Amino acid sequence: MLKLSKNKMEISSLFIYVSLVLWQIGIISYILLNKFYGKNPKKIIQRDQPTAVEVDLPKKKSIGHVDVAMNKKILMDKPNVTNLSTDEVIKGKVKTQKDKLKQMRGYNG
Amino acid sequence: MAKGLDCGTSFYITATEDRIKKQRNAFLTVDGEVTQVKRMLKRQGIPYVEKNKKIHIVGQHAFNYAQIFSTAELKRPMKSGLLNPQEKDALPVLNAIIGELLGDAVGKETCVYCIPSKPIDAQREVSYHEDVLKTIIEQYGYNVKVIEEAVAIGYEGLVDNQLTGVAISMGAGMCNIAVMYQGMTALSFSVARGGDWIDECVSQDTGVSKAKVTNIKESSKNLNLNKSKINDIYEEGTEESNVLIAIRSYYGALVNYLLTNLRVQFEGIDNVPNFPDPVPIVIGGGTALVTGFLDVFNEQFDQSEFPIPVSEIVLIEDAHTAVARGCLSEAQLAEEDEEDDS
Repeated sequence: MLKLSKNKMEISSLFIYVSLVLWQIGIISYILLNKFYGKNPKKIIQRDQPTAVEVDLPKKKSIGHVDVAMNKKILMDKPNVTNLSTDEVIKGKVKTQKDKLKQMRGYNG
Repeated sequence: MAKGLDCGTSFYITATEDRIKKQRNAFLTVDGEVTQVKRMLKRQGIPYVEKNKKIHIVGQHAFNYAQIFSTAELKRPMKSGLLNPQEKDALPVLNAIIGELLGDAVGKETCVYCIPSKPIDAQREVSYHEDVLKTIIEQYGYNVKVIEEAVAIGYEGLVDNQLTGVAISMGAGMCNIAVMYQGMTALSFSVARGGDWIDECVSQDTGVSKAKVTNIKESSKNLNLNKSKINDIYEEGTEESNVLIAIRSYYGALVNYLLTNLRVQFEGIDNVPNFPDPVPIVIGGGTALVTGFLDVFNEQFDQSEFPIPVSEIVLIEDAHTAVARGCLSEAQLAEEDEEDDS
């Protein structure tokens, strides 16, 4: 009976001892973790806000389009023509205003 | 020898000092085996052009065929005064027509041809048309010069008025207008409506084929646009009388369109020349040939709305060849200038 109560005593003291060790380990871990991985407060970095600055950009001249003459080199063969005759021929002196035009151009310089 | 060439939508006309030559600007492609078709056409003395294994009947013969065989499609190398964009075989046919009319140049010969002014109612440029014609004419050895169609009319019709006035060329494909002052062009433009437009509208309204309308317009002895004459045939109710009434109506519409656009264009230009005295309006071109044309023109003309004081409205003598003769005058003067310089 005495032996049984002695065993109980040993077991309870061992339990107390182990629990103390565990508590110590827990507290030390807490302190170490807090030291190295503690919450970092957000740092607010003040930066200067860029402001618009008026600068004189190089201005493009407004240039209209330039038209150019086409003057294409058009390649063309003569076709083979057979029997082609003019539909209507009116023979006789052809009346024009050439002389009056010539006189007028001479007069106008 | 100087030559003038009128490159019209319906006719090509050349003028030299001793003759005028006309060729209808149309063709018809003949289907069938090439050798057989050629043999058949040669036997009948029908002129043709061969290019890329295709046989084309050219000129009046083609026009006559189209009248007889309604299924045959008459093709046009030009449309609305310029090269026909839908017609792939236009260039060899034009080349053949120009070659036949001009022939090869002997020595230094000058040919003046005409081009339309830029159209105000169509998105087309004149440059390509101008270059193609120049290339073809140069192939035959000519010194080439170009003038505007309406200016050529001015050279024929405005010389007695110091080349001052309004010149109008009424063609099949378009109408060309130039306002001239002392020989200079103050304003020139074209509208893409002409005799063909009348034919198309009449054909649509009367149900008569376009080829037949053209034929009636060009050859009918009854065609007289004088109001009294039209009233006489009103009761007839025949197909031809319907066509004639419609033709008169569309002639009026065309002249009205032309005069309205001339007024609008004139109001839109800067540096408008001042015409202190009334000036003449001179008209040439095949579409103006029909009897009674001036009647219709005068009906549509309203001096109070027209921007220039007008003294008279005149149809040039032999209106069909007026452009070619205007080009001839310019060619003759160019040759004389060259002779003086050398």
